[in-house]
Amino acid sequence: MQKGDVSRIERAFRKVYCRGEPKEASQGWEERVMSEIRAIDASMDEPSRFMDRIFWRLVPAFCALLFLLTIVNAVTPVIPHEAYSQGLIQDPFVLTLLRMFGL
Amino acid sequence: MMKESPSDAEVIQEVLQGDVDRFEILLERYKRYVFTIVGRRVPYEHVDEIAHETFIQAYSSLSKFRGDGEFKDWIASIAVRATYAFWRKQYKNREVSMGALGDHHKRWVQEIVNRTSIESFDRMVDRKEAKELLQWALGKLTPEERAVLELTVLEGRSVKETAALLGWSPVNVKVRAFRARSKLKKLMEKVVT
Repeated sequence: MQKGDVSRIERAFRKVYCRGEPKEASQGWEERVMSEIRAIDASMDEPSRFMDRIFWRLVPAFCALLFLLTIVNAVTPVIPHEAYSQGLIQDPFVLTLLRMFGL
Repeated sequence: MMKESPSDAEVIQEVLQGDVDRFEILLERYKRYVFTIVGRRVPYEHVDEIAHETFIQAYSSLSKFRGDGEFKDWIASIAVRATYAFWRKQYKNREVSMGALGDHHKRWVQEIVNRTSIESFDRMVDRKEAKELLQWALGKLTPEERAVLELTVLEGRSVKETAALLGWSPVNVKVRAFRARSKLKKLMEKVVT
């Protein structure tokens, strides 16, 4: 079969495929769709509405932030209690307090 | 003065704000369009069900509609994917045999190819053999090949459009379209030999 033959068959099939009126929706079809939609809406309580509209939209941002923090943590190794006490000592207010208590 | 009908974006906004009944406007507006898409792709008795699923899915994911494109294109892609999912389900228990075709189908292909028919091209296309052959050939393809062939060859859509409707990459569409067309060619050769 030549290329031209296939094109001719394809052209015929294209006409067959696009021919004909679309099927009409059966009686009560719209009501059935709308009643299912109302049921979906009714079954959605406030927390799930919140989850759907806000929470899931923020998930990518949370993930990106988590990823960023992981990288920062990986490149700057910190020993938590040392960093914490160093931070406290560098704070003039805490330092004054520590001196007051003679520590 | 007649009140101007609200735009799709306005209706979507209202639905998302909790006025579910406004979805009926979208349903009324795109019902025929969805039925056309679905009606071409699935058997007559399943059209209602797949169109129903399309609108339910559209409602459920309405908050994901970004509004940077047309709602019409967005719902078309939901409808196309719903029909694709339908054929994936059917694929496992399908049974399409060569026995479904007779000599008159073979003659139809030969007449189309050799242009030996005294009938015009349009009348040849009108014959029921044409429709039966097309359905038989589509049934022989995988759901992926079927979806891509329908969009590119039968509806004449571009690779880019097809990729957007199916959610595939353009390269994937090109590869599958090539395979589908080769398979169609082989099937037609099988019919005439």
